Amino acid sequence: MTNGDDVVTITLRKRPWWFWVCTGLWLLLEILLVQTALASARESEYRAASISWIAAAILAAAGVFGWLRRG
Amino acid sequence: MFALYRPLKTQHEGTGSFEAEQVSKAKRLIAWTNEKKPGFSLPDQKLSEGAWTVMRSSRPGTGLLSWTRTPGRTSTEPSAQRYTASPEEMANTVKAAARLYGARLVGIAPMNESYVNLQVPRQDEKEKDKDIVFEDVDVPEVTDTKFVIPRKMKWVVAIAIPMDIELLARTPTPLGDAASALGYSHSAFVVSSLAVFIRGLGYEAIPCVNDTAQSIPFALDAGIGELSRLNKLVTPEFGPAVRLCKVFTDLPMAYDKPVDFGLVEFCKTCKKCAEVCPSRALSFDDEPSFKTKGPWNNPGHKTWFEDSYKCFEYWQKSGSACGVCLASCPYTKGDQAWIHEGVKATVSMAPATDGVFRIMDNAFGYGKQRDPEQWWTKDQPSGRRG
Repeated sequence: MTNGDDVVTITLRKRPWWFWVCTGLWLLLEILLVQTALASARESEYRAASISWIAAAILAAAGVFGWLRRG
Repeated sequence: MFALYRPLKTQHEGTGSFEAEQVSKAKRLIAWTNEKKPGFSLPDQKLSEGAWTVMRSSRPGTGLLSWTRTPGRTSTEPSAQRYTASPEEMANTVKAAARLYGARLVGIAPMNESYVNLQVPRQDEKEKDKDIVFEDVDVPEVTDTKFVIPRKMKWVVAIAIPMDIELLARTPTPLGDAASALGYSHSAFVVSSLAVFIRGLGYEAIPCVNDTAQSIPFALDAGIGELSRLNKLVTPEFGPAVRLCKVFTDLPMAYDKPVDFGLVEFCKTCKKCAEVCPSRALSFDDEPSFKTKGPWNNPGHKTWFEDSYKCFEYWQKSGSACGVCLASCPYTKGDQAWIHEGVKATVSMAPATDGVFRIMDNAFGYGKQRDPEQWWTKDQPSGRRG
């Protein structure tokens, strides 16, 4: 792509296959933790619910960090 | 010398009557009500009494628990029609009916006469204890002196009714007792309904709750659960938070098989029930054994035998039927979190993980007593399991 004298290069880097496997596992774990948190709260198991929410939040943050860190 | 499994005289054999303690228990309950002790308010106590109603109006051989009652025919008149099908189809039909009436777990076990008590205890001073005997007769009989089970009754429908775990989490209080009481009353309804259904198919049926025979060995043989450190049945679905009942019948059905879901190995590691038991009635031994703790235990099988005397003594002191062991068992959980099913599956296949799950059970705060007063305002029954 050119714009006058400037040249901008966009590099498309294909993510490796194992990245998608990890993403799938991460998503499954995230769903499991959120479901546990919601179910535990419904069952009045508030400590279990809190721990599950915290674990889900940490896992979500780790996932976002891993996704953004492309290099 | 090796002791054989034997029929117990009655369901409370060997533990004593605690009559003196019951008088002081009644006084304590009144005092605790006046002191506004949590879990001992008048509504807490009366909730349990209300839950007992159906069970306490049912006596072996009469009313709901009649051995012969069928609407529309006399006890001696045979049914006009007899339903026939393969044993497997018969088992499915009976299980479906039992589930409709309220059973959550149903299995079919062979009759074993050594599980049947020797007597039905008298209900009041005017009566005598009645013997339970097996005879070659066509229909069950209840006479002035004995209860007669026909020898042709070779099938037992073993049933588990889940207890309300919100109430159970309030043990040891009368509020917690309501969970047991309700379980028994539901049991009386289920077995009496199922007995009438079976008689309607043209067969004989004897409905029993805790009376007449030991429920646990039949439930074990029917594959409903395994024997645990509590020396009680633990089911994979509801843990030990179930009440058991059974129906004897001559309706031919396919038998179920005992199950192994890794419970004995888990109990060896866990010991949570023994740690939290207020009366120290449960065993801390690593391995189950054949050595009994007293005349209340039935010998001839390998388990962790409990000190029932200590247990019942605490019932009088605490003014409740306790049940802390039932509430604290890691298998006593709600059924909404998917992860618990995964944990149970892992425990059944990989005993090496038992210790980790035991630690996690504590870390996640399971099995702790909940605020009794909160039950009335927050944790109402809402279609939740049990």
